[in-house]
Formats: sequence, C-alpha cells, structure tokens
Amino acid sequence: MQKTIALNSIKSGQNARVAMAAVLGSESIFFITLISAYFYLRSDMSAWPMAGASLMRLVFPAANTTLLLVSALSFYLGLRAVRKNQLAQLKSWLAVTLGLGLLFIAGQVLEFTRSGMKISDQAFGGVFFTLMGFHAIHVLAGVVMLVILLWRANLGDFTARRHAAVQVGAWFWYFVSAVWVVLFTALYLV
Amino acid sequence: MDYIPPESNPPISLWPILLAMGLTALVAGVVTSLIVSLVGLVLMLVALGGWVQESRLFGLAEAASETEEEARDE
Repeated sequence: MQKTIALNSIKSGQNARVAMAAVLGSESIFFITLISAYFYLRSDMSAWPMAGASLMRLVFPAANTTLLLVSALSFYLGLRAVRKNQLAQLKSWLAVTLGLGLLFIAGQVLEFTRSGMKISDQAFGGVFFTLMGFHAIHVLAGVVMLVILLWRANLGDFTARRHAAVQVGAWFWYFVSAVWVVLFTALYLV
Repeated sequence: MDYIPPESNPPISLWPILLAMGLTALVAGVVTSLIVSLVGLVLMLVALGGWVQESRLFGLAEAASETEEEARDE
C-alpha cells in the first residue's frame, strides 16, 4: 500500500515538472544567446554608456534587484507553507510575492524612462531594451502565473500532497530572479 | 514487481492553440492595428481561463481517483 501511494504521489504533477524543466532549459539557451550578443556588441564599441556607472546611478536598479530577490524568498516560504499544509500562509506568501513582482515591473518601467535612452540608440539602446524588455515580459508571465495560483489557492486546490503547480511556479520565479541577477551584473556592474 | 500506476495524461484541448493565437494577434497588433491587439488580448484571457479551469477539473478528478485507489489498497 505504501508503495502504491508513493508512486501515485510521484505521478501527480510529474508531467508538470518535466514540462517546466523543458521550458526553463529552452529559456536558459534564449537568455544565454541574448547575453552573448550583448557582450559581442559591447566588445566592438570603444565606449559603453553604463561602464563605470556612479554609485548613485546604481541605487535604483539595485533596490529593484533586492525586491525581486525578496520575492523569490517569499515564494519559497509559500512553497514551504503548502508542504506543511498551512494554506492560509501559502495565500499570504503568494500575495506578497505578487505585490513584489508588480513593484519590480513598475520599477523596470521607471528605469526605462529614467535611462533617457531609446531603443533606436545604436547598439547599446537596442541590446539594453531587448534584454530588459524580454526579462520584464518573463516577470509579467510570472505575475499572471501568481494570479492563477492565488485564485486556485483560494478555491482550495492545493494540499501538502498536491501542489505541483505551486512547485513549478516557484521554479519559474527562481529562474527569472536568477536571470535578473546575471543581467544586472552584465548591464550595470561589469 | 513494483506497482506501476497507469499513465495519466490531460485531455485533448483546444485552449493551448487558442492561447497561442491570442498571443500572436496581441503582438501582431503592434504593427497592424490596435483592434487586432485587443481581440488578441481578449482571446488570450478567455483561453487562459478555460485552460486553467480544464486542468483544475482534471487535477480534481485525478485526486479523487487516487483517493479511491488508496481506499481500495487499504
């Protein structure tokens, strides 16, 4: 009996985990390609606008980065809560993650405007907006996913045994957070 | 020999295709017309809701069948 239950637990949600692993694998290749293009274009230019950016210039994007990292932590706490069947806490942590995700997107929009650049501004403008824009679209997709998870959590769909959607959602959110750390380093620090 | 549970695949669905069509129209509208984007957005939201609802019902049915299996095993 124990074996049957264990195997069934593995079965439910296994499809979702394999699908998300495939998505994250292909997304990794996509971002690696974009970042490689960025460094290739940068190596061809004598001056690069963000190189040696002042500390003041870095405060806003660094604060935005912190928001996203804290949101990854809150998603992890939500996942931990559902594993312990603490469903009220799951909803709270998902709501916190959603709020932080929305704040991050608002911050990115503000960063677009305050950068004073246009997408048509030579190589840097193009690659800057492409990298940040594609990442922002991914965060937006994560926000949609969080809304769905919150909706389903309110309907009582998740339990300690059945929460594959929350788990794969967390994987996606960790991924977009990790990609942002790489982009922040490439665009602002290096 | 270990017990191997039967394969459990979601039902055939039109929602993913409609979602892809909605997203395509949403983006195509950027270079054509705002109306195309709006139609795409509506199609996308309807398809997303339909897909989530369908997969919820599948998940609930799967959970019920697991509970039955457990009860049988006991």
